[in-house]
Amino acid sequence: MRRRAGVGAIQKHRVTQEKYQAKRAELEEGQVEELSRQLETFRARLQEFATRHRNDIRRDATFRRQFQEMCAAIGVDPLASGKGFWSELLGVGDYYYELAVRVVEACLAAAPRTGGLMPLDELRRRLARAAGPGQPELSQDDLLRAIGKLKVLGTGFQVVRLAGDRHLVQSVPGELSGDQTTVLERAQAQGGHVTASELGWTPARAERALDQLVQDELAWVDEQTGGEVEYWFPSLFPALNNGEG
Amino acid sequence: MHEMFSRLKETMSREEWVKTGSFSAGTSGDKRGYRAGIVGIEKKLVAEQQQQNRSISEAFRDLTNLMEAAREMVALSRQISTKITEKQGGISEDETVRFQSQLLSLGVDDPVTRGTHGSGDRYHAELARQLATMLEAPARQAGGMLTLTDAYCRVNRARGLELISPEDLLSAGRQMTRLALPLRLHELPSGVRLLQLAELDQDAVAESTRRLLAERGTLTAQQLAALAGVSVLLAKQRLLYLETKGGACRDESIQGLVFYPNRFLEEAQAD
Repeated sequence: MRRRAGVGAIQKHRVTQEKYQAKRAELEEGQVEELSRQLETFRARLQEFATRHRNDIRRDATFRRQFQEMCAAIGVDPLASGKGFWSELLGVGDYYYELAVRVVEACLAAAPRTGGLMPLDELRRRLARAAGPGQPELSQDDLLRAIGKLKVLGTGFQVVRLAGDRHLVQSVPGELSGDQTTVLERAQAQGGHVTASELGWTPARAERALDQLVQDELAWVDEQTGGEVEYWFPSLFPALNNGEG
Repeated sequence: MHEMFSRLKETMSREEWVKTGSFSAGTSGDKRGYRAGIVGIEKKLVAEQQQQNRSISEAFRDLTNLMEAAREMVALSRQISTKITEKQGGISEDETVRFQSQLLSLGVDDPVTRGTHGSGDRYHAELARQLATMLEAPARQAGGMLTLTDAYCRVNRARGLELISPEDLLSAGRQMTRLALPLRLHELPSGVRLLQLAELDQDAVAESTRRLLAERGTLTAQQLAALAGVSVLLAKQRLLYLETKGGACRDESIQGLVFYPNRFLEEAQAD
């Protein structure tokens, strides 16, 4: 017998296809439904957890960090949205989002003097001082995460990593070149200043890096040293780190 | 005199003040009570510390269990997401909206939540409306635009609780144009992100900057900031934009960045 052809076969095929699509849709809806169910159960458990341990999260920086790492391990960002239930129920969101606000305010307040670059430790000290006594300790990890989130806002908040696990917080846009970072490292090791010859580069290379830093208002020029011109970095001054304001 | 002196010498040599544990000149019973007090406090501190440690390790254990459950949900969400992005029509619009909300709760980063599918998610659309209402006046006061960082701080300071994340602000901002709100998100090539009044478009601003520059003959970002009532960062952006349009030339030196009207263009046009 000949294979069925013609309109009848086409229609039958289409009906089968539609049934197939419908079944697939049913299966997918089934999945979304299933996810809903799991989320509801989870929400209840998380609520319970929060009731017992919310304070531990606020108080204990190590616990916060472990929590963050566990989330990252399963592919979840608890800080992605204020509407995430980690944020809603555990209050982790509010902790970091508010910290981010304070970071912005502290950096902007200090920017006229520092030019928009501040050692992370100094930022931590300023924030701790501003928060007053009796506040839970602020860890480096907390700050790095909060600043990491600020990057999304696009106005140049980022962390510059120097050798020896030291960090600078940059609050103005503009990439620091590798050379500029090296200059900063050198200056930081020497109490906040450096001369061109101390860098050990060709004059042209040293000039380019140093001039750019001056132009970006991160460095001051001292031509009255009686010897070589010195470049000073207010953001790295040890004395400023211990002062107020 | 002699007697006093020898008495004094005697007392000094005994060094009564160095002896410890004898606060009360009383009986040994008092001494015991004093020690019990100190030891008692110490014990209490240790007990509190242990309690806290127990609490933390209990928390950690509970958390580990929770994470396992979360991991399963993430896996499920990935399956659903693949189905959505792979083909159209197998999943309804309603279901997609529901799924977006689920992803938001979980904190999973996914193209579906980023609003590249359909009309973006509802939460951020609603947030966009709230933000536009709240930030319109401040934007106006600040010369017509706010950096996203500024907006973020204002919004969260005002809220106090249930703060929004930087990503929330960005996602909401991205929906503003579509929703025809009075504020719009502008993402500049330099990476700077602003919320700007819809009525101000880039070219109108460029024109006014060009006129200021012509009046003054020369402008730095700081000078423009003072004149236009905007931040130095935004003033710099305006000058840079004008430069790309051919309306300004830069003079870059160690003294800084200064702009001049573009005489090359103007004089060429005058010929």
